[in-house]
Amino acid sequence: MELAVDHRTPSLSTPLSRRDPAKSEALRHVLAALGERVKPVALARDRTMPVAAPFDRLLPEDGLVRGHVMSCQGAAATSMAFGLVRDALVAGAWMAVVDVATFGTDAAAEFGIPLERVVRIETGVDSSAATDLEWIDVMGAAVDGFDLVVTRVPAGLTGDHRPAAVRKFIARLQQKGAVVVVLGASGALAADIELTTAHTVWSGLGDGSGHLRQRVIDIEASGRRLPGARTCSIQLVGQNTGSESRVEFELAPTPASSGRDPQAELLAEMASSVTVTDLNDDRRLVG
Amino acid sequence: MTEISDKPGGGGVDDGPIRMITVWCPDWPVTAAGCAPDVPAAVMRSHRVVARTTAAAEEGVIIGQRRRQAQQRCPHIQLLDDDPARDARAFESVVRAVVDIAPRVDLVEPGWLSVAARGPSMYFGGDVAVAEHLQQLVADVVAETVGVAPGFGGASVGVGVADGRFAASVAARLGVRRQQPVVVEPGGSPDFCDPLPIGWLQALGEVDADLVDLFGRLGIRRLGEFAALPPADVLGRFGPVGMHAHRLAGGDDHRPANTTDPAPERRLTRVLDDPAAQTDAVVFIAKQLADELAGALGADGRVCTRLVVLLETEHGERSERSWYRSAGMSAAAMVERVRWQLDAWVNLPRGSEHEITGGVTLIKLTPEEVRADEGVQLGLWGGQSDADRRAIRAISRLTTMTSESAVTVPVWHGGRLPADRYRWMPATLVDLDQRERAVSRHSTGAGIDGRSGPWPGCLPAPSPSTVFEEPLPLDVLDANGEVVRVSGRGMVSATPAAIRLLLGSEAEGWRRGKLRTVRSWAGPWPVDQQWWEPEKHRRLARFQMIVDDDIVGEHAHLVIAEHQKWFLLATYQ
Repeated sequence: MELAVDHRTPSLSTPLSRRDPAKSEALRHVLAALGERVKPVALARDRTMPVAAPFDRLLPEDGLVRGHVMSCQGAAATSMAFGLVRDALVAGAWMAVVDVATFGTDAAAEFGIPLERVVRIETGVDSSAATDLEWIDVMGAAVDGFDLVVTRVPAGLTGDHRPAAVRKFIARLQQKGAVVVVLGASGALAADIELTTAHTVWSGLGDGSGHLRQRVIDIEASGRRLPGARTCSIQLVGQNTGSESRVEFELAPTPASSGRDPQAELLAEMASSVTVTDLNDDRRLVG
Repeated sequence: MTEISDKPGGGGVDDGPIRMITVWCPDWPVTAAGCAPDVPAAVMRSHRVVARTTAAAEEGVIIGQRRRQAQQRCPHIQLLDDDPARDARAFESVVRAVVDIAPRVDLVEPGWLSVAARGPSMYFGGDVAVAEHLQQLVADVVAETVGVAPGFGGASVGVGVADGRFAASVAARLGVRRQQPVVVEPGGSPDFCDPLPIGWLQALGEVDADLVDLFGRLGIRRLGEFAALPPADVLGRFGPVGMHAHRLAGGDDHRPANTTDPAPERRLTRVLDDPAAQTDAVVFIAKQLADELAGALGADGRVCTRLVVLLETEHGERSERSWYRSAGMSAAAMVERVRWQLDAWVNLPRGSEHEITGGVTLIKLTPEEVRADEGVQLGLWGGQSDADRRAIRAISRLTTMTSESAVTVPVWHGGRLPADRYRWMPATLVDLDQRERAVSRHSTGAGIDGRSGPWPGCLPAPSPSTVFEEPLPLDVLDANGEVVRVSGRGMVSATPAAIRLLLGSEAEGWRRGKLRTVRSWAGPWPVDQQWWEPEKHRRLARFQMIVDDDIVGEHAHLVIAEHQKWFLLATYQ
């Protein structure tokens, strides 16, 4: 009986055009919106991990885009790397530290990195107990299981030459959606975004007195995924309250008489209208 | 099953639970941190209060509160970091005191232990007498731990005697409130449990909060009401967990029938021909034994709930502890308990009776209590996340790709030099499920006096982010090009003007690196540590220096002078 009912309901099979035009218009609208939602494309900004406040302005999409290789260079490379990964780790991601024997655990804790989700792996490339290929293998296994991998590129891969294994690794990285943060030059990994410390100034240390207290680092971000270079000054302040010590980072207040070249700044501003304009924005400073 | 096997006919074992004495030190973590009860202090885990002193409780600080709320209630409160290893170490003195009167002690967790009541109670002439004696004894030890005179300040200790571990534990907690031991008459456990709120099941960690919440919503508010339900219906509706709760609620804490004596071959013993003097070496061997044991039990679908760890040194000193965990122990959990026990033993004060003097030659793991493994249901929210499981799988994969010692996780160790503060432990030796509370701590654990914790004399934040594994040798020169010297009294011979790294190695001769000007410096901050141990004694002076760099402006370094030589320890990168 029910089958017969199905056949005898012609209204269901009438074409759209023969029905109420206003209704079909609305339906088309809904369908278009639905198609937009179900299409199998993930935009870069949907595949990001969060980044702590002043660092986010250096990056496209305001976060770490999954599948990217970042490189941190210069005198504050490690501190920048800590600042980049902090919020993602706090949000529950795990981090592998591959072949960074100099990892400053204390400093990482002061940045607020949850150490219970940090794992260190030594491949032995530096002591020539292993080859570069073994390093790639370990990196491949690391991006399988960890969202963040901090590493140093071994000496054999610092050139521009890109062996097949590296290309395969990059494909795997993009598929798994991890983020690799390279300390120093990225070499064969060819960083998507490079953060370089252009300049660093310490304060707190005198001539035989005081102790290191805070520093201002000027960071320059560039790379093939970044339209134009972005710059930013970040202030890192060591806080020692009775029970804990930590490092806080915020946007450095721009000194009125900074020794910068105003013309160069204007050029940079034109190159990237996104970041430099709000360097002096009070609202951002307060936030 | 010592208690069962050694007393057939000792008062109706077969038809009732074992009579237990439970000692409960409330808020043990703050006591272990050395806080006197009259100082407001609290121990935090994941920003929540897990333990607080009496003074803090009077100000309205409660367990489970957020850090901010606690500070709001009591602005001058001292907040301390959680450290299970410290709790276990400090509890060792209580355990040793109790062992003197009752040989086999069950440690449930630091601050909570049970002993079989029969022997001590016969010796002291009754349950009340032994309970009062124990309370006095433990209170004195606790008072000593927090540094107040015995009997002063009322270090509160609860002692309870009842049939079964559950009833005894409840009695011990009530004993804290009543300020005197609570003794339940033999056979009185069901009546004792009857009027108690159902929340006790959760408070003692026997069932989880969700189930207790469900009981509440079903209108079951008292243990007696739950115990009155027909067991078959309880099993059908709530499964094995509910059945377990039902048994406890009825005061029948006879561990289930599938608690069987382990076969003799389950007692795993390893005799070392070469005495192991390092903690890590012992833990490594314990890991092998624990893997074997957990594997063998797992193959039978069973899990160990009570493990006896026996360690013996070449000089014949012994340390035997029984560890209890109602949820069952994985291999990693067993290893962690061996590590706690070993740490507590190694850190005993010099000259104490059971001090360890030689390398460990014997390790023995005995699963005393085994039950069927019912598995653990993973939580939908909280608990282990997908990222955690992926990472743990990746860790085991990476371990097989490289080696066990190549994959490491940080463990707080403590020290004044950057390289000492964290040790990197092989990931396979650490219970990764429990890491959040067990392993990691904030860098400078704070002491009660508010200084930078148990390590006064640490350099303040920021800490160097690049720490060299091997300190790099260098020359520190004064304005005339002479090497600067630091005297034994901590005075520098001249102002440092430049540094020069020494490259290469001692064997092939040092090559001098580039001379870099020192812009500013501070120090010396002398360290003279572990002078009581000749082989670990270090005497050095620390300096912070900012040196010129043509490209990036300046570099900040942490430099030490030790035995008239200069080393670069770390760079503030």
